Amino acid sequence: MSDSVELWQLFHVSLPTYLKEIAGSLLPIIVMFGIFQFVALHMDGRSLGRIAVGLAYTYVGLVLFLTGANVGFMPAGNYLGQVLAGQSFRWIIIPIGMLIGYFIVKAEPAVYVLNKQVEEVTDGAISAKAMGTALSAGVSISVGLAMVRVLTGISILWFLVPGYVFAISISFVVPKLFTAIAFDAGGVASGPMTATFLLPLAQGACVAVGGNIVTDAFGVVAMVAMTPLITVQLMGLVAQLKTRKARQAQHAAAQAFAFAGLADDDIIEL
Amino acid sequence: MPIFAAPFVDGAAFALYTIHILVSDLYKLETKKQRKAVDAILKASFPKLREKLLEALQAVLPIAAIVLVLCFTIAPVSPSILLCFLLGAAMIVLGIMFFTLGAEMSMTPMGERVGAVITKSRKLPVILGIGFLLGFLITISEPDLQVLANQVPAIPNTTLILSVAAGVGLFLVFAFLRMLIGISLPRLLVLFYSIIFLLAVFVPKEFLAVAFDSGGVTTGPMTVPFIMALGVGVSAIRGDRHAADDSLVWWPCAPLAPFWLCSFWASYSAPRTAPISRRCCRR
Repeated sequence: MSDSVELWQLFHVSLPTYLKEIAGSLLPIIVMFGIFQFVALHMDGRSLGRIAVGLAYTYVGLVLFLTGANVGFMPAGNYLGQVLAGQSFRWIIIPIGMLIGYFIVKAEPAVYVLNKQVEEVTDGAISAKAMGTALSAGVSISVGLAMVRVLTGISILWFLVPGYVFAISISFVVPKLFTAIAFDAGGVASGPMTATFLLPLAQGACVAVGGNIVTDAFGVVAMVAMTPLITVQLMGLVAQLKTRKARQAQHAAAQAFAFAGLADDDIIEL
Repeated sequence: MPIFAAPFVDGAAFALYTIHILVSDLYKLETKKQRKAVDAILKASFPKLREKLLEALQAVLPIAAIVLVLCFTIAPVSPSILLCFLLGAAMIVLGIMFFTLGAEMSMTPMGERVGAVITKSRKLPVILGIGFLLGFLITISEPDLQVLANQVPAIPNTTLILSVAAGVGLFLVFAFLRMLIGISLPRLLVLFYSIIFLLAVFVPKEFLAVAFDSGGVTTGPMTVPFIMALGVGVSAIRGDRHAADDSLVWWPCAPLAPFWLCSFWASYSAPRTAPISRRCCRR
């Protein structure tokens, strides 16, 4: 690529492909809904109009997103991974992955909803901010581990089996509500940015290290998706302990207060 | 007309035709009054569009910033690649802005209405059959899955997408059943994860990580609003005390199913990849 016109050509050439592809992938669900509308729904014009406008937005958005991701974002991520892991200090990919993991969760809009939900459920024992920090830290660690996999080629089962066993076994201890929220949140952390940037980065790094892309680089998304299951439930456990402690402290304080009024040499009848 | 413009014009015509079908079939623009109504809808969506733009920027900017810092310090890449990345990032921001709002506006009401209607029918085969079909169709249009499929070298895109979609459809059937019968979630999770990890022993190693990843991407910006709303619709009809709890919990197991199916597919039909993909090809 030598000039800016060629740069635009790169995107321009693949745009029609995606225009057709997305039309093809949206059409089935639209046809299905159309059939429903005729047979059973009979929605009024106003809500249909809203849906039609929404679908048009979705179409335009998906075309832009996929073109941008496939032509610009992913090749660059892949190349960057290669450059980073190709240097003598290839371990640098681990802290970089962790940093990116930290921000990927912060950026996901659905995560804010989740944090608020946790704060409400726990009556403020776990603040939204604490929840956000815990999630970010969790995802950061799991992306770091994924990068360790890229460099070493350890099987993904070594991470996923203990992770899921732990997540499921504490689900029997943790209050039910937290389990529900946690498994709800699994999908929240792995948004579009994970697939479009983190995965290509891992692939590039894998190429530079000389590993097997299919076994070592993939698995990033799965690792990120697993983290909230553990983090949210752990926070639930913490909240439970906190309230129990608070109640005990209250109890103790009340007892101390009851005894305070007595003189030192009073005899307490039990 | 320059030669390079030909495919673009072709594609644009196709796109316009699709949008035309969307708008005119679902909502017939015959009178001025109705046209005004669409204008009003568009206008009402502008403030929300701005909100979504901020969210999209929040998602993309930190990563772009990290990449820029890396490129300026320790990772020497050519300026053309950096430019490519920046242009791609700009398109992604716009894309996320449009499709998150679009999915909210269209997928949520669609899911809710359809969920309510199929539960009202009171016929189990109908509910389960349509549940499968809906899960299948909505997953086909999931952008995260398409991005992932593009990156998997060993499996043809259509095959991966269709098999994952079938997996989500299948699990949606389980989720419907769970909701209607009312089995507790942790027990079901133990059952399904045990099956998964048991399968993982038999699956060829090359497919393991891909299969787990394809489970992770099924919870994307298209599927989540639609299937969540479907659940709300179904539980609203059922209307008992536990309905609200169930609508919270029923969805999250969906990512397990594609893994399951993917691994089945991988272990039984890996040598027959080509004919399967040809058979599955819709385009």
